[in-house]
Amino acid sequence: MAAKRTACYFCTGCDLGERLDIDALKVSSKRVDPSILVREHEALCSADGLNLIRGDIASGAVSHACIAACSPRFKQDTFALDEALIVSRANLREGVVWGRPMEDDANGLTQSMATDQLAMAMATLYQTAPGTNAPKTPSVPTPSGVENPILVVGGGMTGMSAALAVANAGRRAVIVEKSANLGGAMARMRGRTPQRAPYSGIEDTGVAELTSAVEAHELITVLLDSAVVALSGAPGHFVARIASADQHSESPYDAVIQATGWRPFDAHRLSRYGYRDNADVITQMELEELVRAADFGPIKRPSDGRVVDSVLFVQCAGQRSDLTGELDSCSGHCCMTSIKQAMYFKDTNPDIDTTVLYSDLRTPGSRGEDFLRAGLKKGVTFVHGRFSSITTAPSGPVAAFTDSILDETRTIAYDLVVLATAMLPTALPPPVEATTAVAARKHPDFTENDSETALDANSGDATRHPPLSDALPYIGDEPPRGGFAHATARPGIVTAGSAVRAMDLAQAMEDGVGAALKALQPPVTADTGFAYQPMGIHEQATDVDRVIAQLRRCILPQGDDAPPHVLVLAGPHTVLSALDLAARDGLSHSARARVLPLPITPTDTSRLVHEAFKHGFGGVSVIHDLPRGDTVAAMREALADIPALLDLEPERISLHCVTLADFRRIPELIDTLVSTVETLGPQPRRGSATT
Amino acid sequence: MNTTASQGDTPATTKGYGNAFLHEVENRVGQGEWLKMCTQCGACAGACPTTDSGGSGTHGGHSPQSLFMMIRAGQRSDVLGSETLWNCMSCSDCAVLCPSRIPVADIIQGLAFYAESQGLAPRQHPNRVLAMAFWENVEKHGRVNEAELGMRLNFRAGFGPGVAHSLAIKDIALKLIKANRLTPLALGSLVGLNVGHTGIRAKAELRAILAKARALEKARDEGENGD
Repeated sequence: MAAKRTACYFCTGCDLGERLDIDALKVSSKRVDPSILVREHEALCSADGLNLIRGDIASGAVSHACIAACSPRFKQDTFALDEALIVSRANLREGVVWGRPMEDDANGLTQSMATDQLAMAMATLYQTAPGTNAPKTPSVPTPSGVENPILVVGGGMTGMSAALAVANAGRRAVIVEKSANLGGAMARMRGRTPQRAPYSGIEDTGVAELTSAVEAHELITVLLDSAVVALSGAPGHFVARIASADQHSESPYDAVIQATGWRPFDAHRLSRYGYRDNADVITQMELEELVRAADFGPIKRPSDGRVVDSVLFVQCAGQRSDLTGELDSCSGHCCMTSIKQAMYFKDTNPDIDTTVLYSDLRTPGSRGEDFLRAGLKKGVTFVHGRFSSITTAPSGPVAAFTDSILDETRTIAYDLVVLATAMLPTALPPPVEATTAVAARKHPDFTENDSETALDANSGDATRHPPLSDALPYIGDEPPRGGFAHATARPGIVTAGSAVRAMDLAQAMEDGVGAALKALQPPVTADTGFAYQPMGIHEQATDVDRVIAQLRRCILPQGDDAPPHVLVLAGPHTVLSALDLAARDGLSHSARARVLPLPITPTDTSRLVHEAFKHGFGGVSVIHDLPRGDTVAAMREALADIPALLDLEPERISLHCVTLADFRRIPELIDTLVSTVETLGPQPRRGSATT
Repeated sequence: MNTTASQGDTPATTKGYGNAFLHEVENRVGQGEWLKMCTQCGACAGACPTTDSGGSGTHGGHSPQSLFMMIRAGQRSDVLGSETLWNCMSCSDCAVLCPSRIPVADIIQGLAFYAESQGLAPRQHPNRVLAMAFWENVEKHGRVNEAELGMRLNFRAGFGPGVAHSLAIKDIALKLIKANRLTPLALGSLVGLNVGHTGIRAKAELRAILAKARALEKARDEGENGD
């Protein structure tokens, strides 16, 4: 790597020039790094200002730049000048001058805040190791430029789409598939609901097409009959232990995509649907197998092999229900799937009575509408009604329900009843307690205390992976982060498709591509010299050493009479943005507060708080936007221990959960701590750190 | 379709949603092939001025939505015997509002015609009585003889009630006569005198046309029944 050439660019626009002593800031930057190139412009974001920086890049005068201007959350594209240029943004505009009262300018608080802000930003360019002043290059998670593949767990349609997207982006992907072939659940189906106009009939599953594309791609490796048995590490250097038929192997991966698909809801638990007692009551997935067995011929029912003459599709079986043991969610695909499956029958014999019993038919978009019309055209009957029960007669299942249009109860015997049961995402813990004992009706190998396994054995291998708490411990522990697609509680592990939410094929395949992009973030950001930040903001927050280096740059007041400073550890996505919003509205917190990004793990937060007190901060405020869960509980626990360990008043630490909408309130939260700390006075641990 | 009789503890079953009656309607009722496209949205039921949505209430009868579902449920005699078919005024609000563009009013009219042909129409429904009297009248004269039609309807329940009804509405009749809208001479047709109302000239040709149409219709229906 060529020698590091640093430069600091000061912007004097947006009040910065008037309210700050830029020359004094230049001097302080020279104090940090005597060799630094210092430039100034009245509007850095103007074409002229940017050309100033571009000129330096072209002449080789700069490789690492500190831009002392507005918040890093503004003008990101403007200052993304060159891929090779490593940029640190000193937030002087929102972080310091905007909203700061004029009297702070007079008493020097504004200037001291700006000095710290600049020093903290510059610290990220050097990443000074503890106890030394020797600059080192920013740490990059991937050692020596070795590029590890992306691990895709699950070789279904989602996993294959994800792997293809990764490979098409020029990175290697490894698919680990538990079963002996690719395609997952879709490979066990006869056809799929139409994905292309005119949406009028059943399409080929597309498994063969996607499989051959995956197999032909030189950047994709497929491991069949394999499973991930252990996973450790972090973005850029995960290590996965993969068990194949005859061997175990351990390899490094940059990121992990969990595309483990879904498992079927155990229909045995739905007693009123008669699944337990009647072999001719089956699930949608089981019908696919019947249809495949029929091979375009007449479809025969399981009990006696008779050709099916009448079939009832019961929508929302055990779903969208408030009954105990049933689910309140909707799987999203089953209405379309039932239309498709009714067409299986109509296509062999248009006279077969195919009735779909529904309470709301969800066929969204023109695709759904057109497919519904195609079903109507083929003579599928749709009955709006309320399901009561399925009982068993000598002839087969008898369904009782209320037809709400005719306003009457109907009791009708069918040759076959198909239940639209739920898909359960494998990345989430099971929604209800494990199944009760079930009689061995369908399967000779069925044992009472092993119903899930037996069902899986019957339906191919719907659960294609071992319980995820074993294989992917991070995902099973905590539900995925709400609001952030693909994100899990663990950076670098992303979920895709029906592993995380019930969805149809089109959504799942698109989701696979999205997850691939998300999974590529860690290696790609690492390549540009940044640590990976899971929320997509390059706040360099995950590297706790870097944040410690930043906080040590703060020049704190000496002497016992000066009111102590406080450190604010702000959630890097929401809370830092909220502070920018507050500054924009002229709401500012005390000039004695210094803001740094909050690291992602409780351990790092705890370490940082220790360092803050050792450096001399009088208090620490942790402001986050995390959903309630294990992370927050662990953080609260870790912070609760610190006062006792350091012999400090517990009031010196505050922990707040906010949302972006709370931005007007956040300065108040900070000021409350500042005034509390002012009352308490300086704390005794300051100066105990070796600087 | 399974229609199993009640036996022992087996639940009594009703007829399923087969397509037999639907196919019959598709084949025998004008525009009937559209019926299967109904999504049961209920727009027609909400629009219909002669029935209440849901099929019961002050207006009674079955909404087009209910009728279509009854057809899918194979309730043949209930559909063809429904008074709704004769209450329809052909306002076509249903067809205008139908998101599936089903010619609902045309199908209702077609069902009424088919019900009549199957002998399942409600015989005493006043609209049916009027319709049949009107048709008879037009077939006889080639165009309507209003005096004769009115008199026939007045006396449909017998001589006594006919006289009583005629007296009750005599003021209206007199006003119509004064305004030259009705001529009592036309009643001559009742005794074979074509004086006030002569009808069309080519009555024989009209009858021949109608006879041919009936023959064609019969041939069509027999052909369909044959396969």
